[in-house]
Amino acid sequence: MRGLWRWALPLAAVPVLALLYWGLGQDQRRLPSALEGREAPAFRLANLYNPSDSVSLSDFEGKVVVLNYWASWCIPCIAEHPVLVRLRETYDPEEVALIGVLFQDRPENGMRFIEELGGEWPLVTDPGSLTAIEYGVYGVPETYFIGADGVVALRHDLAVTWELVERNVDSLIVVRDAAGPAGS
Amino acid sequence: MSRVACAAAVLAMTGVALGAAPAAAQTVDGALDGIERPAAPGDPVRSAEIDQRTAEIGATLRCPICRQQSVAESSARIAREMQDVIRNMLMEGRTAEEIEAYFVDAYGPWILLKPRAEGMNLFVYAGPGVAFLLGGFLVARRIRRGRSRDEEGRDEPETPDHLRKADRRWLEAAIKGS
Repeated sequence: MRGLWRWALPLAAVPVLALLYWGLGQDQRRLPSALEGREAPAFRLANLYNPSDSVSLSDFEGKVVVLNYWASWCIPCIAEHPVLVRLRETYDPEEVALIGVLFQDRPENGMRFIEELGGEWPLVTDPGSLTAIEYGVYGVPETYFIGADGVVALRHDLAVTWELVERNVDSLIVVRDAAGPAGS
Repeated sequence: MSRVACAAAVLAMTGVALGAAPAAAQTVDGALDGIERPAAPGDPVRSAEIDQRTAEIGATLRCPICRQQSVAESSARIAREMQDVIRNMLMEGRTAEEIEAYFVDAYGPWILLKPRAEGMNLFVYAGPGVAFLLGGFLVARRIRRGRSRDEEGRDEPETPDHLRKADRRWLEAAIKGS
């Protein structure tokens, strides 16, 4: 019994040290997303180029959706932009939708950014960041991969790479195909 | 990513520090996102009450960018926008619990500065108490044992039988060796 008590203190330190080891191994920059595995919040946002026109998430029902929050003042957004252009060029818009949500930026700055770097996909503004807050956005760039069933599969909170986009979009297409034709 | 937004917040703060009047900053913000900030209700007492409750609820939520600060304390734009959301929800008649649940739904429990006392969080709340009680028990046990040993030592003459096993082994080995 005495031997057991002698070891009690070192043994009690084991879970504390294990927790410390686990904590130090975590990337503190990566933040949790409450949305993964849940239905993506619906939205209807004004078109960047034509505010009287709006874009809704439900417009893309049955498609894989890549929802990208970006801003013209965001340096990593410049770095990831060619990946988004490649995404748009690679996948059929009827299969995979890409939507860009301008985050905390002036519409004219956003338009200038697109004029300079190119890109043809629906771009919307988010006044008051209401939709961004509903999605739990921390900053930009942030990208949400939403399945054809409307469920958020992944939230990525750094600039996307082509490998990441291809892997996730392909797997969501496979899941959609396995579930049956869109809309059925 | 959040570093970028944080840098933007710092730049914004620098702008204010360099002499931009708060009123002017608000105008710029309004022009930036094209929305009107929630208008305070006509009744000034009600308005003050909503402002106070907005600050109280904001104080319980973590700013997503300046993470060690609450939404009420932070000057980051997202924090101010979150305060606008809180204010709007209060004006709609939503309760503090509903507002908290809304932000937890979006950001997860991480957004709460004070974790809820449930699930694994219970360790955080109960851990120190349990550790204190366990430590107290061990110390009390050790003291009681020491006392009874002292009492035994006073009542009976100290013979090799009363020595600890290890001491006795050492003593026997010493006698043999001598």
